[in-house]
Amino acid sequence: MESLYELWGKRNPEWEVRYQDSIINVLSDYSKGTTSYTDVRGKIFGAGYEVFILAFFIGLYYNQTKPLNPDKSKRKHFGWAISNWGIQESRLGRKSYPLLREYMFAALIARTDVDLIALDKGDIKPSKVVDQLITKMEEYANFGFDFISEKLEDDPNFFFKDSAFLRIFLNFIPVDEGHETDESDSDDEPESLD
Amino acid sequence: MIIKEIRIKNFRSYYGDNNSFEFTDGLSIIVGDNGDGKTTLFEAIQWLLNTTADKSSVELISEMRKSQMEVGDEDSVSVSMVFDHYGEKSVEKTFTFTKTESGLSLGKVQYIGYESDGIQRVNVNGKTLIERSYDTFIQRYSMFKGESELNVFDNTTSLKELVDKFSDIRKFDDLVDATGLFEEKSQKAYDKELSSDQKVAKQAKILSSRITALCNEISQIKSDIRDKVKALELYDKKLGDLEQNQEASERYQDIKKRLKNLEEQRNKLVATMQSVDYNHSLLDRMWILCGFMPILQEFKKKSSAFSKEKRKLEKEFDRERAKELGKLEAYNEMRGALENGATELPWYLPNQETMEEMINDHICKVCGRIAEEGSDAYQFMVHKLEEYKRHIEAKAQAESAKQDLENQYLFKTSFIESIHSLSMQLSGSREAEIAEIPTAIKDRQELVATLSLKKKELDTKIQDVSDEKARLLIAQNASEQELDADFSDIKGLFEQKERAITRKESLERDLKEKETLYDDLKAEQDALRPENSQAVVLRDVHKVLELIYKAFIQAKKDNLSRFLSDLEEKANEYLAKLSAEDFHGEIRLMQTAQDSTEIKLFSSNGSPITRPSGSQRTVMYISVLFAISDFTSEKREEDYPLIFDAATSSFGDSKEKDFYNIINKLHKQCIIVTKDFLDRGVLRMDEIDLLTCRVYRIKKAGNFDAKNVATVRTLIEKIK
Amino acid sequence: MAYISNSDKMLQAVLMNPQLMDYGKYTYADFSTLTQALVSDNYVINAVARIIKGLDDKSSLNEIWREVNNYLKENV
Repeated sequence: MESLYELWGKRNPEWEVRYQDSIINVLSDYSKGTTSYTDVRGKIFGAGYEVFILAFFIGLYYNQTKPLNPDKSKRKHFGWAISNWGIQESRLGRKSYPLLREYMFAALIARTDVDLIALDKGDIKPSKVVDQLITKMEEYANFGFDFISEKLEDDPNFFFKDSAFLRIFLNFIPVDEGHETDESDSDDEPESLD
Repeated sequence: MIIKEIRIKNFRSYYGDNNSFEFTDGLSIIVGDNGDGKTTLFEAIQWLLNTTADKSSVELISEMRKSQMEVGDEDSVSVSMVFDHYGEKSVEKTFTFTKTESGLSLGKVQYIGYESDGIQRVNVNGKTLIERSYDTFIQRYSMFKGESELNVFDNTTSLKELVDKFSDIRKFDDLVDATGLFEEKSQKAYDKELSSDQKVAKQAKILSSRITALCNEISQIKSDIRDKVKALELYDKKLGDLEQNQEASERYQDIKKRLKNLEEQRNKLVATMQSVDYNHSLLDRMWILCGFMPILQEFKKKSSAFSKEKRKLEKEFDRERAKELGKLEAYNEMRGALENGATELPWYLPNQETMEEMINDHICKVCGRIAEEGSDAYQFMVHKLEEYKRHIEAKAQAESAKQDLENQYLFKTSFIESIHSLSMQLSGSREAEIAEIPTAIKDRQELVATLSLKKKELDTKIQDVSDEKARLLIAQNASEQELDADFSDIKGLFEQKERAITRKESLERDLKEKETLYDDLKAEQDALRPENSQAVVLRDVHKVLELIYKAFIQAKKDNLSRFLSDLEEKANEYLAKLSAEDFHGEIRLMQTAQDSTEIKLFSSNGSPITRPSGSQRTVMYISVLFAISDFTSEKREEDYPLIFDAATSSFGDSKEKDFYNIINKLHKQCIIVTKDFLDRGVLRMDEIDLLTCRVYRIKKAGNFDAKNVATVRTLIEKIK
Repeated sequence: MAYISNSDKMLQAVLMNPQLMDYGKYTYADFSTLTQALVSDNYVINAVARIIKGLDDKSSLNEIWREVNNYLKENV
């Protein structure tokens, strides 16, 4: 039986078409069909989904979502399932990052209101749970795209400065010390799931 | 003539109209670094004074001004000078430019001049004003761009001009040529006459042809000797160059090595700095997870909670099920009692087959009693059979219910377990790795910052060494190739030189023989006693003309020597004033085989200084220039400013201020553009304070983009 | 002292040549300015003066040659 992670991996999250020209094509080689990584010049990122990942994390860290446009014609996807993200071989100075997906999945589980008990009981279908996870993912990314879009309007050169993206994410480093003292959790009392 | 002010508008890096220099009667120095606008200033003055350059040109216009213009805007390029030359005068050279749809349209170059007649300013023809006041000849001895132009005697034309302008006697050349011609003509006339005289014709003819042939030979030998002398001079020069280039070359190689070393270090640094791309690292090194820890904790808690809840529910469910199962068992047990209370036979006796047989046969095969249909016994048996069947059925049902119960699960899938297992995976060392990420990022940033500083240091060092290299090249007046050359040449050159000397000596011996022979033949010719008195006359005429010719040649030579001697004396006066206290030596102007003159420096004990230092050379040439300038002022009763663009500092020994202060006292207007007094873009104010002359600083305005010329402009600052 | 022109100086420089002086049998006292030399009895002094004057006047070389040559033929 496939795990939720595997089922989630088969999906192809959607994003709003209006961000294609203003963001995805600007920051990546998306429209050049770069899945072969033959032509990674000029743009910051190679594949379009990499920009999606960044947008997703922005939404995730700000913990803000933005629902997608219900009109299907205004949305599209990369045609490249999540399970393929970050697994290309290392070349042209890039490395593969297959583990990142696990963290994204973990974040979605943490932040989505899924009833796994009902799922395991068989009361709800796995595909429905995965739907929830994907929706959350898309909405986080959508917020992220919005965020990026506003920044680009203010300053079209913003993300081309060397550490622009990095600085955005550095803002989210947790500040309190002693946060990571307890590594094992198996004996923690579970929070109530009500 | 004294220049009082120069204004530059929109000329190359001098943007706008606010660029002006005011000069004193003595020395003004303009301090600037490479690229700051020194040479442009110089070229602006040259452009103004060059009355043959009459075409307006786009390249002269300030890029910054050009970049700001919109279609329809108009402005102008202008260089103007206010000067004193028998009254105050000014002259401006200018052209307009207008921005059009397709580019720039340029106006014609105009010269605008003004003279003051004591009361008011009068407009005059600018071009002729320049040609009158500051003509090309004076410009040649007044404006010098870079030290390489300083050897004023390097070409014969300029020397000739100098001699003509300033020596005692002018126009010797024409006379020498004329009398030479006359000598030839008279010789021909004599020869002709001789050949027609009966008595001596034959002899004369023979002598004449021998003399002619000999003359040619002598001429040829002399020419060969001149060639050899030229060659020897070149060998000497080359050997001198090589020898001392060798030393310079070693220094040069050392500098090259250091430079290469530094550049390699820098390149390595840059490669390291660039090896980590911040954007890519967000994904490749998962730096994007720098803020992920809290979310990871959320996930682990949730996953653990689900897992616990699931186990709890499962336990409850199992308990319930066990209870149900127990009930079933009990029920099954209680099932067995008979309806009428009597203990019955166990239900398994008799069996279904037997009972059916008995019923069929209407007989109880246990006790043998006949059981007819409808009798009690018969009913009993039927009843028993039914009971049996019921029991089997109930048992089957109970079994099935038990099976059902036992088969029942609360949870059909194990998604939660997978998630929990993922949670385990992400703990421990994986979690530690994530926790590390902010530190890793910070470390990398600090590393880049440190490397960046190191790179800046290296860049400065590289610049210093490059400057050192440039200074060396200029001081040696050599090119990179020359210093790179291999010195195995020296031996070969020596040998060639020796051979040339031998050959020259042999030629000289040859010449002497031939000249003696010539004299003999001539004497014989003279001794001819022609009958014809006309011939005698012509002979004497020729003799006089020959002597006159030789006398002119000698007079010309003497004149030149006298001039050079005067010039030398004057130059040495200046040398004494300008030299450092510890230097005692003299300038000598020496004539070379090519009819030109070299300026050489000799030490006080009479030995030549073959390679004077940069500052010595500068002082030497400036002394000669001042001497020439003195001649000018004597001849024309008018002085001219000396404008000198020193490409690099010649003074490595900080004698600059002494040098400049002395010049300032010389009663000559002097404008020197220099790199002295600058230390990496910063003025050495302590030294400048000690100067008595006017000082300007020019530099590029800050915030410029080195790749975009339109952002560059020169700013002028008056220091004192 | 009276004004000495360039031509005067030229004349003097040439005539002071020892070989010339020897051959022409004249001394320093016998010449001073160009104008004077043009009327000198000494044919060497006179000839030199004529040459110099000819060039000063910008006569053609042929003209000067003819004059000087004829003069010398008469007076040598």
